Amino acid sequence: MSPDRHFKQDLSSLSREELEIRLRQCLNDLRITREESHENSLKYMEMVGELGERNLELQSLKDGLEDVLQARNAELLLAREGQQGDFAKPSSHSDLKNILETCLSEALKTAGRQDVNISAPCQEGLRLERSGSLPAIVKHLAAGLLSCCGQGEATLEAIAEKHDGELSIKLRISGAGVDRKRRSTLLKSCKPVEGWEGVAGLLPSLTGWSLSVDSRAGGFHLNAVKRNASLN
Amino acid sequence: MTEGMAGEERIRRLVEKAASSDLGSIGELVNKILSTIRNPASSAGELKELIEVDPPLCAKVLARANSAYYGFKREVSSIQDAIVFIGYNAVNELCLSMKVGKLFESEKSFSFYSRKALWAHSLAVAICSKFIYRREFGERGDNIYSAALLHDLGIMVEEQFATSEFKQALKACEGGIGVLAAEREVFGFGHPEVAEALAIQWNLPPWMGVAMRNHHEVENPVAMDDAVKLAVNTIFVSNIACKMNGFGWEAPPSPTETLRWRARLAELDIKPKAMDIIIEDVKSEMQRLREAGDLYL
Repeated sequence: MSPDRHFKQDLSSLSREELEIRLRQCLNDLRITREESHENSLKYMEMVGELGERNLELQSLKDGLEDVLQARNAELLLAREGQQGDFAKPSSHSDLKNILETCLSEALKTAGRQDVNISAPCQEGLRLERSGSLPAIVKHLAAGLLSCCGQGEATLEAIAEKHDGELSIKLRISGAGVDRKRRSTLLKSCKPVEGWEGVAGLLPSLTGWSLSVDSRAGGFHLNAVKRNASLN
Repeated sequence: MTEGMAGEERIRRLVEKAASSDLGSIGELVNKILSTIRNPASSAGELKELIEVDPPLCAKVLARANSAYYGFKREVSSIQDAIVFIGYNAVNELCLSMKVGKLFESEKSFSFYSRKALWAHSLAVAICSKFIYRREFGERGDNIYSAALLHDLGIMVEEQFATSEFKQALKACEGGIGVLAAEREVFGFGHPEVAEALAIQWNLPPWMGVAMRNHHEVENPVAMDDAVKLAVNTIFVSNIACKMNGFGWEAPPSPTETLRWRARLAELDIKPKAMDIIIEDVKSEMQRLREAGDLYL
């Protein structure tokens, strides 16, 4: 309704009685309009809240789908590499550091997520300078591990501990084919991530991995084991 | 079967026919919209979802929100914007008007009857009733708008599903009797009873059915509670006032009707001058809608 509807006529031409009636009607209308405006603003705020929640839901759905997609891609990649059989030769063991570095860098590049901030340098000179998705990093580490272990038993161990509100995650990688001297232990310090256990949902999608998660005082212990990688 | 029972059976069959037509599908949405209007806890998000699933309705709401009628400088590009800019209640009323107006979209006219004139009358009565509530009673009148907009829906049912008898009734009016009397002569009942049956079929609140049934004459007012009586009287007064001021689809009110109208105005404590002012504003609103090309949808 137009706000000027009460004043369409020239006010000076109106009689006193008519002016009084118009004034009373106008005041009633104004009071109701104010009430309605207030309610509309509340309803709008409610709607903004609902839309915010909806956005979060969609974001989480998108993240979940991205993770599943990445896991599937990694699985396909592994299967293809396994068929080709030329990537995971024991000769590449000496290059574990490079492989992990590549994997992590790739993981960070593809994940593009801002919810994990890795700030501490890793051992052996690996420096993680970008933010990325923890599940993606773990998944790619697993892929790297598989690639470099080749034959025998490969183990990926990740330990998360909370210290002063910070979650530190240790990933230990070992495997029969890995050069013990070059075994890489990565220490990552990152901000607490809600749903960190979600990692557990990703690793099993890599064929052949078995996974256990123990809740310990002050942290989680995640153990992912791949026996006799089918890369040959 | 007595005459009354035969009439009831006939109304039931008419309303059943209406339910399986466009009118039925519109009824479903009208009911949903009315539920959101009635429910104070309903959210703007619910309304948005209701509109967004109906692309033609969505387009019409946006077109109306962007029309000269509201005159916003900024483009209203989403239903959310429309709810923010023109208000939750206004969007609800807009949806209701558009959905009901769809029934009148294609013109049909015979004798003095015209669908478009009936639509203009319904809209004018709805606006008038709402103005009376807001300005004279100092109340919102959200529901009164809906009830008044639907008050003559019985005519549409008769016109669509009992066309030949409806034409007979219109012909009978040439003898100088009113439409309601002519309907009762031909059908054995009138459009207010049909409208009430439709309201029951659409699960509208009972008082709306009562108001639709009584918009020509208030039956047994003693049995009504005050709020219902207020709604019934308001639609009655608006209906006649609109007919007196060029927003009727039938003959102007008879002297008896005019006398009853004055009595009802006094009962509502509305001064004739105040009613004149309201009618002037109804005319302005209708003019605005006409100029914006939004009167007929």
